[in-house]
Amino acid sequence: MKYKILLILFLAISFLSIRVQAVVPDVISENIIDFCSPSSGVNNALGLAFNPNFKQMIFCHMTKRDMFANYIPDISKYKINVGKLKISTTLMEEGYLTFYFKLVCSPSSGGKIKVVQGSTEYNFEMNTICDSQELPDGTEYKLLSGSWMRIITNVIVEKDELIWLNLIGDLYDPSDPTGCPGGFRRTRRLNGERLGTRYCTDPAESPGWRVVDFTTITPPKTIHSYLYTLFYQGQNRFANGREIKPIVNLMWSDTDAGGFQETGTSPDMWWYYSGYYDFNDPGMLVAMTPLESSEPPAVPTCKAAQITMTATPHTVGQLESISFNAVKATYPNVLEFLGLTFEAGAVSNCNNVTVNSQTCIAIGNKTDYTWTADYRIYNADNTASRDCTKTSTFHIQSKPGYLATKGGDSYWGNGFTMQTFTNYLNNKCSTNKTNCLSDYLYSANVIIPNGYSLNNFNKAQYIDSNESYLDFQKLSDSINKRAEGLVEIIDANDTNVPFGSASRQVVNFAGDLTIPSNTTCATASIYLVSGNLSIAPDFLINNYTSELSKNFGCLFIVQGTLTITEGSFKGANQYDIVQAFIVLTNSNSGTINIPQDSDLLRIVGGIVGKSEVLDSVNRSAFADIGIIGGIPTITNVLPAEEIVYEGGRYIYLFSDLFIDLNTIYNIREL
Amino acid sequence: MKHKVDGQILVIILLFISILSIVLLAMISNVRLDTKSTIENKQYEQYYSFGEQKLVFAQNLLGTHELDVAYINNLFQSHTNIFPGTNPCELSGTEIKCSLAPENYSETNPAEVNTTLYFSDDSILSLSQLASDSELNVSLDKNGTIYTDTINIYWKQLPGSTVDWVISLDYFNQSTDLNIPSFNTAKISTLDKNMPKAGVIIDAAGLPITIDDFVYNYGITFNIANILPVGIPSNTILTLRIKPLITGPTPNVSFSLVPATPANFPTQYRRITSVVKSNDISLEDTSPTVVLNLEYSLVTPISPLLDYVYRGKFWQQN
Repeated sequence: MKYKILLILFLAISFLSIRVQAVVPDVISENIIDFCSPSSGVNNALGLAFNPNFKQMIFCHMTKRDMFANYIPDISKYKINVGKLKISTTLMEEGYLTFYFKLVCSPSSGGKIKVVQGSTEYNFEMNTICDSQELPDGTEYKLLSGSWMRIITNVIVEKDELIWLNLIGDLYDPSDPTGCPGGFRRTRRLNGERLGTRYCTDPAESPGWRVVDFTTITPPKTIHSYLYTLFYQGQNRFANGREIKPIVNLMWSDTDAGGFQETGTSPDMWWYYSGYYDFNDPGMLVAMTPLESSEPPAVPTCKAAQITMTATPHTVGQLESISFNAVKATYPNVLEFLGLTFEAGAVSNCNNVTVNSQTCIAIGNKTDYTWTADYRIYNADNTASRDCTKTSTFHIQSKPGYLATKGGDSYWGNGFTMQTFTNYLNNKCSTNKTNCLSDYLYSANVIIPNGYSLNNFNKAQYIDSNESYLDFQKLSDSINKRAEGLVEIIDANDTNVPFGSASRQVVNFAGDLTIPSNTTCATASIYLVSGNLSIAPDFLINNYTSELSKNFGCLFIVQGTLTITEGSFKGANQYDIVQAFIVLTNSNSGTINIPQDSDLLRIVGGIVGKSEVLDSVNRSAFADIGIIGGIPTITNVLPAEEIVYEGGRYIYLFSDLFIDLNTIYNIREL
Repeated sequence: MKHKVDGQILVIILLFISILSIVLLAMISNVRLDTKSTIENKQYEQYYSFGEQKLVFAQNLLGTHELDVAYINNLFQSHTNIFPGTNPCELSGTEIKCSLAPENYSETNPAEVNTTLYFSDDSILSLSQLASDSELNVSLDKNGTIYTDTINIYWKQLPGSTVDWVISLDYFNQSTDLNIPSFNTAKISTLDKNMPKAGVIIDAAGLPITIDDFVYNYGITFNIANILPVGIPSNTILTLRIKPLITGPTPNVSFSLVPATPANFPTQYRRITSVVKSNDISLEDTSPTVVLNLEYSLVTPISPLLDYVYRGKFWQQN
């Protein structure tokens, strides 16, 4: 008997456990609004349709009402709690949609819908603003013409407190779901008629509007909750924040009682209720219309902040592509662009032209050019406007210069950012392979045009594994350790930098090392520079024209930045020369600085840095800009800088000192 | 009738006891097997660690020094705590064999083990793991003569991975266009237009090629003399470097570099093998024997940073 009792107890506990698991409450409660993901068009059954200027401001909605039986939303996307009235969608412009609630607040309350440009959401800011922004009574308004928008906002008031909002579009009438032609919906239409009138509605059709004084409505005292729906439709001009008069159309339905029921007799007001509210009902509707003031129209003023102008890049090389774009910064719905103009001689061959953006080729030969955006700004009701202009500048580098590499492997972590560079490669490399970059070319960037390297080896989307080697301390420790007993190790400072020692050396240099012009590398030494390195060309290997130079080479490992200064002037198409192999371990941008100079620069050796580091100010090459067929082009251009690979020299001299930090050996079991 | 029932009960009890005995015996047998297996696994791990330590130590001591019995015996004499015995090394065919004196393989375990080390050099360079973008030097100078013949590289390309090879040949060019002597580098790659595409290697039997116990499914062939630009004498060659560029989930590759004429190719690969087993002959059948190979290139690997003419994010105008 005892066992039977135990068995029954066990079964009971098991059953209860299962039940407990089964009754985990749904995350959707009465106090949570569920929104589905933003949909792509107004045809989506329940939704908020905005003016096309707002683009994609359509989102569907689910209230879990029986009335919306045809609609199956994705309720997992958005769940909005009380006090966090946030609705997600994609908004393209910034502004405020003002709305009012005249029911709860005395004399009124309301808030703003903040539309954030580029954001995926906008917020209902439930501020009490009624005193400062409510429109005066008795003012005549008229509906704005033009494009339309609709907002239907359900507001549930429970015990005189606003507890949540939701948004809907057209209301389906589930009691009569058939009988409409294709593409049309069976709806209760909000076009000035009673809600009870059924229509086959084209989703794109704009409904009408009505004027109702919401403040005259007295909710039934016998019920605990009310559902109000604010309905707004009209043109979305809200420049001064005063255009919306909250006009109320109250409606109430109880599907349990057989669909919409109507109370009220005034032509300007209906409200519907069934004496009690249950959460299966769609609720009341409050219609708000955007109206135009009868006050004399005010002419708006031009302000620089009204638009934003961007030239990309701001500094462009001659013959490079530059994009101009003007965008609305404020009052986006009362501003229209008229066009862009450019200072004479600045650009040509513009394409992708729109009224507020163009892509052109920079042809000017001076630094500063201006460009102008013409636009017109309207007042809120489109009754007055003013033409405005705004001017900005951009810079053209007349002789842009570019870097070329010869021999060896080159790794361009971010690919090629200079249009002149790619122009050069396209024009010169394709006709003469010796003008191409390196023997082999790698880049983490997606695009490397085929044939940019001498051997047509272009490995794109490749991230090399050698970043970790660029650690000054590790390299310094390794080289000093290898050098012990092998070569001379010395500590140096500004006054005793040895570049003429006959023997091989490892030179530890604390601080910044500056190498004056015409210094000669007459040694085979590795310089470990803890600070910055500055070299004034020329820096040549001793006897570089002779076979004797075979045993000389200066390899720098630098923890700081590298600056190659102008050096002495040599003349057109003449080179400043630096013969060295330089390894930079600094990870900051701007690690390499090469000031503008009339001489070209040739580095014989190599420059290696982290993928984050290498920026440069290019020298002004003696670029020869020509015009072929009316189109500017590059002819006979020499690279402003070129790096010629001579890693073999440093492998020959330092293969026993500058070794792979990872010992290469394997252990395996047989 | 009662006796018959008693007899039936007796039979049932006996049957039950028999089954119980079988089950118990099986359980005891399993426990003994498990215990034996655990002991062997532990012993194996200790032998492995023991052999590995001697291999790494031997590699550090010997480095790239020429293989020589007297030299190794001298080295070992200075480190008898690792390599016990007096002059344990001797020449054995093409190898040097070092039979170390028996020793305890751990402080807590007095059991003695025998360790034998074998040293050999080879002109075939094989490594089971060469990291992507690392650079391996290959010696071409054999007694003053530069090897200019054909070389094959075989490697194992794993599913989802791609291995490209960049082969660099450094030479000192005494007569450049500018008439300035300089160090030049000629390069070829598996992605060169003129380079035969690497493909699956199948031998005569239709199988992947096996070299030094490695199984390879890809290979390329190139000729040193053909890499050199026309007019450049072979005696100017300084270094041959090979670099794998690997994409895919495994950032290293196993490979062998095989000269077409090994007799003319300098040795560049050293293998040290350790054989560790129990010194107790009675345990030969039950005690494990652990054989490990350590392999490394005889040419010190240079920093891969020296292979770039330029490496960075980008070069931009300000």
